[in-house]
Amino acid sequence: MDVFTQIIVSGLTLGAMYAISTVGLSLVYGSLNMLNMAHGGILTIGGYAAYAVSQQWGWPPVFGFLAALVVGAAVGLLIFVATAWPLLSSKNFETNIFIATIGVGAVFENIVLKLFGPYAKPQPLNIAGGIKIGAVLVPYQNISILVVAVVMMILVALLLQRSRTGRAIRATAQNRDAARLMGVNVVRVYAQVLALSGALAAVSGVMISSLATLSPTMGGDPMLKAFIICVVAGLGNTYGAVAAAVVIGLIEASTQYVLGVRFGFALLLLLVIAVLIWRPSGIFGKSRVVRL
Amino acid sequence: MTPPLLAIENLSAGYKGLNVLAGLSLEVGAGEFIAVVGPNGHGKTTLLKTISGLLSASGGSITLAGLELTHRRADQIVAAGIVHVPQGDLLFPDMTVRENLLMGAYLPDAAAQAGERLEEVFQLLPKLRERQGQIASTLSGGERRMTGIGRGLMSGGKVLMLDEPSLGLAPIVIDQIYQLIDRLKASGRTIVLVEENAARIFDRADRVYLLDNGRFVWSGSGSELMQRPEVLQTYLGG
Repeated sequence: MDVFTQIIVSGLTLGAMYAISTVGLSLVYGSLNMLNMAHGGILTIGGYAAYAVSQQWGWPPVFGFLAALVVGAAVGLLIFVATAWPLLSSKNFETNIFIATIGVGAVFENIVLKLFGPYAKPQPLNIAGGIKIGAVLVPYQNISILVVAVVMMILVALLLQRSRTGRAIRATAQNRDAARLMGVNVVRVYAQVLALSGALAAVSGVMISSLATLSPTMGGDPMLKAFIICVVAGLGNTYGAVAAAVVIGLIEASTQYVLGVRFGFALLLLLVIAVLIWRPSGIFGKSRVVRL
Repeated sequence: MTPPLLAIENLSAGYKGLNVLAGLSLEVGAGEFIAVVGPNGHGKTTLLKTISGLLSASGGSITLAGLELTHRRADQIVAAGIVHVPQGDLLFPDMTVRENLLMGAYLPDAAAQAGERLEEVFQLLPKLRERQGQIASTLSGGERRMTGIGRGLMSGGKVLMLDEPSLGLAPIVIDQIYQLIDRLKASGRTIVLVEENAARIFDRADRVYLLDNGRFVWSGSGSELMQRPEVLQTYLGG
């Protein structure tokens, strides 16, 4: 029973962190057909932004979190202005933007390396203590990650479903030309989506680094997992991505317990292969029937 | 003579390296019903896409009530009052019928009147009231077409452009669509209709333009066109 609790707690925490970073990636792919390879870079920058504000400047942790949000959004916007915007009318947008954002990601990593050095640092946004469920100590840190993640997911869902901006984002993702004919300024939607995605990635960076450590390359592994989750869910399907993230977090936690840490990622990849053989466009992906 | 509502002068446009429209001029007065007919692949859809800003013109000018719209963005052109109901409907597949209709009233001016407009559209197309909660991708062809036209009406624009509203529908559904168009015409709307099949527009259009190879080769009233079988024979194959 205690083992079960342990697995659920760490699985949900992992899932929550994955979900936050995957949603951004999925939104960007859904509306721009853009695989943002600098997503991991934003994650890293978000983690370091929180570190800089709460450790180096000595401000309260809450400001560290807010700084990550703001900096993440700004970096997302920067990626839009520097890569997506100039490439929008290019013929092979999907390939070009993929390569361009790999370059941007490398630049981000090196900026962080230059500013903060190569050594791992602890993330000061850490809440000590925990509550006991049975014999298991559930750290407040995990609980707060879960709560923050759930609150953010609800906010994103409300934004997408209820607000005018959200309707424009969904419309653009579903049919770009139709959205333009309705009066949606799609270029502005792209910029908003990248800023939102950046803010989410940065928060996920803060969460991940608070459980592990900060390092200039910390974004790589979560980005890879976010891509895997996106593909498993069906690229561009945002709600599917959240569900897949939680499931994959739980699977990873159980594998790590049953088989050992080193098998976690291998099993994840095996699972992806199986899913893609079974459903090539992802679990929730639709192979759309084109009708007149 | 009052100046035309929509004036297109010497318009050229096309896709990369291929000019599809070669200097078209067209005038649409307020309340007029203009039909553009011509065979497939001769620029009818390109014309509408260029007017609505989905494609940019390579030459010429487009003005609406004296307002220059030639190189504006698509969203600015809708805001100015030109509504384009595209070929193949281009609905938002994962939204409900109601959400699709409300997207038609996305712009602030239209959004302020979205409630009344929605009621008007439901009056005009009672089927959509029944279907309002249904996801657009599950609609039948005729329902999709009606949703597409209804969505266009939601923006309350000055000019309604319809791209082949009969395409791919069963004859009985085409009749329904044209009954709807007749009602829109009767209510005084300015309509630009593009059709491959001239048979349905003879007795409806105030003026017919015949588009061949990116040029207007003939224009006149619908009844004049009916009396010129050789024109029809040459350009539309009878």
